[in-house]
Amino acid sequence: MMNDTSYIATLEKVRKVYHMGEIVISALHELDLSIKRGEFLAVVGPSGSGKTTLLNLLGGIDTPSSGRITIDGEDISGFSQKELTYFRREKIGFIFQFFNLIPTLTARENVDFAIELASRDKVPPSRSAIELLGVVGLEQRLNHFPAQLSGGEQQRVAVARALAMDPALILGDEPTGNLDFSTGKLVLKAMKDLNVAEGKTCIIVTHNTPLAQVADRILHLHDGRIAEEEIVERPIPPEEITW
Amino acid sequence: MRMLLLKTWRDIKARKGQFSALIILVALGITSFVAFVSGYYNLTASADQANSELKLADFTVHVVDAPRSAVDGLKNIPGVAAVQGRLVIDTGVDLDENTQLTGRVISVPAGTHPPVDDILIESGSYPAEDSPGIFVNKKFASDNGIGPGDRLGVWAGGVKYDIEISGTVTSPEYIYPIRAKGELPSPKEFAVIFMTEDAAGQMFGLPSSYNDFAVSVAPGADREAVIGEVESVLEPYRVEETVRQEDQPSNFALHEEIRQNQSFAYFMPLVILIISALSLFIALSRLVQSQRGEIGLAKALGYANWQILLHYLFFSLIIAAAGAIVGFALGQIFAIFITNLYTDLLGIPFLESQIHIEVILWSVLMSTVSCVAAGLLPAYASARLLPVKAMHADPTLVVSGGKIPLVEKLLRPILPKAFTFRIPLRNVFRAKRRSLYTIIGIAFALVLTISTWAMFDTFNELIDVHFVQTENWDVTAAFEVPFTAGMIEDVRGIEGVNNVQTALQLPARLEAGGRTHESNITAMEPDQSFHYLNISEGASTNEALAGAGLIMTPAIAKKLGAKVGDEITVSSPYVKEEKLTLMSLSDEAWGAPVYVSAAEGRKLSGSPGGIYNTLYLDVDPDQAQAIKKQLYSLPGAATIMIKTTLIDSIRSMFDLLYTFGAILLLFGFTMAFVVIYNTFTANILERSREIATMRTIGEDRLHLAAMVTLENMFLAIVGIPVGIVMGLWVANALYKSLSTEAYSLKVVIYGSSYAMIILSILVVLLISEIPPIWRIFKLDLAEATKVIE
Repeated sequence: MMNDTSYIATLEKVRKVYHMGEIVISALHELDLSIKRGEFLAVVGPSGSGKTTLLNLLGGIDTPSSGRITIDGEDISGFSQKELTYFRREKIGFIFQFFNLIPTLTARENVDFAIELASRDKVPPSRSAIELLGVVGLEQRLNHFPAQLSGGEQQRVAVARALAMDPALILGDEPTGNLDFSTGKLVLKAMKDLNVAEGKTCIIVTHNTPLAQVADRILHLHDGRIAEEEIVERPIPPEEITW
Repeated sequence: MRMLLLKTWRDIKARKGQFSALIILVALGITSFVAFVSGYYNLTASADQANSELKLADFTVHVVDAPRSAVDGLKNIPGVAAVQGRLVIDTGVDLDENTQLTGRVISVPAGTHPPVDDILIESGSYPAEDSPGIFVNKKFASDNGIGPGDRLGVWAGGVKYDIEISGTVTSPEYIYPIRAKGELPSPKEFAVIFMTEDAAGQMFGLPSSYNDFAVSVAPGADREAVIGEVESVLEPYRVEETVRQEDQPSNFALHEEIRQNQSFAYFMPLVILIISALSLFIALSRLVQSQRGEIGLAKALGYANWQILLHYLFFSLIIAAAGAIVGFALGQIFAIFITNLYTDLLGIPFLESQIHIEVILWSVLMSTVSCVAAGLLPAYASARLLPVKAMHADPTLVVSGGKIPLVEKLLRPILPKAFTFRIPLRNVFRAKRRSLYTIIGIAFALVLTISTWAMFDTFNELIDVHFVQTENWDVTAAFEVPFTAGMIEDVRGIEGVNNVQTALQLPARLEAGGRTHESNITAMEPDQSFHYLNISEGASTNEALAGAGLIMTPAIAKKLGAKVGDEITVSSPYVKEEKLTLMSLSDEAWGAPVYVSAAEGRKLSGSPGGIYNTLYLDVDPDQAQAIKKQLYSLPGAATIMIKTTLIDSIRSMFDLLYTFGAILLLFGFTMAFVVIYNTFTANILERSREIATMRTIGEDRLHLAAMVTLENMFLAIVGIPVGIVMGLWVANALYKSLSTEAYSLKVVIYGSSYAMIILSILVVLLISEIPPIWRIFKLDLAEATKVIE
């Protein structure tokens, strides 16, 4: 399975334990998981089920207590902080619940910032900031600052920023969690379009089960374990989804 | 309430670094206050005790020559408690074959301590009737590495007497070893020698005479009336000078030193405490800002406004208490250090190091008032917040709208394009209050540094201006008796002497509008070049010294309440009430000189012919010591000084001031670190989500550290000039209060010092960045990217 290039990410017996003083919390229990290239995966589950921990491990902002994580052919489990920084810069596109744009930069500059990070490693940008913002339908809002954009627009800028480095994985932690219904659908559509049109692998974490129906596969986590894996035969287009 | 106390405690634990920094900040203020105020109290007590134990005279009267029996007449004057007649004679002293010094021989009664102006025997025993030896002042002995058993050559009437030192003493008249008020101290060069009155009388050919009377006035008696009576009794013996206790040179200098110490003691801690309080205010304001959500929650849960107010005041009170305890302990250690330094340097024989209750009470009061005052406004603001508002982000920290800063728009073509540069630049303008706090923090840090550093340059400049620009001579020689024209020619003939100029110095009393000033007057030719007169007001030197004119410093004119053109009444031991006109004011960096023409000097000396008693020589520097030796062999030679030696001696006297400066500089840099650390840490904490996001999407630590540094540098570009201006203002106020009758201080900071200060502050700034940058490196990205801002 490790060398199978059809998988963008694999987790083998991954455990994550947190120490809170004398209390030990097991967030993930020897989790095995494989994610195909071009897959749209939704991770759902109640609070404390380990879904965000899983996403953090996939994104390289946390390290496993044991087990092995391979992303795009690289075993990141033993990466140093510096290696993880370069890994995130080159391989991962993040979309946060609170958008997390840099407030002092315009929409275009927020995307350009990510492009500048990529270009430091001599990776030529696949697309310009204008093109990327065009992909999410914000070509008219290039020079607006985050505070001048609606929540949905901000999140779409975040999507464009996530695409700047042409990442292997796009990770969304509750990407619609801070948006209203219709705006949330717009953002979801932008991600789905990228998944379908460009074959980007997207993984979203959500507590909103109906929303997971846009995915190809739904992973139900419970108490740090995969409780259920659900293959969605016919994912619902985001514009048709209701919650 | 218990819960809020618990929260207070947990908040403190969560911000250990920042709280410790605030405690240090308050402790610095209290330390400086306790150190300098206790030091001042101790020094005053030590000096008072020395004066009281050693019975410093209420006044002394110097005459030409009086019979010893004159003492009996004085004792009978009502209001006179005690009198000591003595011989006080300035002469040359040979430390060894090649080292000639200035000496003052003072007689003491054999076998019994004088009832006025006593001496404390530091080594040896009090001179007995047949005691052949001499006693020298302890400071002179220790500075020259001599003591009992060593010998000194004492010149009297052109003959050198080789005498053994029997012991060392401390005299209340020479704690500050100078001969005249305003004179520059030179403890290593000035030997105060005590010997029995019979030995002194025989040596100087005055076996049954006194020329000086030290008088102590009975409690409740009118000193001025007693002085009048004493002067009239001594009138037949020609009164040369009456010196009141407050004008006694050493006592005056000591009290000036104490007064300066008092200025330091109250001024600098005040500055430090004000900076501490303002920094505390900034820090607490930001703490409240960062806890808006918690405040909202507490209020929503039913906590009353006063409880919230009290909660945030607890922070202030805890900081105040801890700051006062730490500050008092450290301050007491520093106070003992400062007192020891002072009493050692000045040779005060009585050391009074005490814990002063009033200082403790003031410390507690000052720390409490400053902390509560600093915390009250933010605490009140927090209590007033409506729960619904409190739960939203602080509008002052949220970037509303969007604007590219004007500076970036204007300089776009030349500014670097990289975001590592642009983001910090924009951050400066995003939250103006935050930037303002940081700028104030940097400026505060500079205030103390600049005002302290100014001390080094100001005093260096004082020495430089006085000795390089004003005093244009290499060697000066003062004589007890006027010298003849033939002697001047002899001096000109000494090998290595390039030029000789003459002057007459005589004691005088100046009076204008009921105000008086005792001073030495220098009479000189208008075309002299040994002393540069920096005329700031009135006639030129030539005009002023052409007739019955006077030149004095603005400080003396102010003391006399006199303006240019006013009439001044001058009395000398030889002439009563000569009316002279104040023609000009001369800005003198050091000393309190009064100048008249040579012709006017002759009048005041009561001698119509050419008469001089002071020489100013230009000499070959290599021959200065040899020339000094030859000058001492001239009849009546009393004081010969080489300028370079004098400068060295003065610099060593400034060591104490430099030690103070070094302590304050240490305070300044510590304060700089604490203030900048606190503001930077708060800056980072308030933007943790943004920084975490940048790290998450791949920004590396080096670039993030560079961004933080650049942002701080941008703020420093504004904060540094502001701090320099404020620092100069504080320095001016401080040094104005330190100026004395003897020297006026004008704040000077050299260009190289500015460079050093700025460089040092930047280094402190970089060091103080390390903990907040480390915080960035340690950020939990998963958590921090979800923080609601």
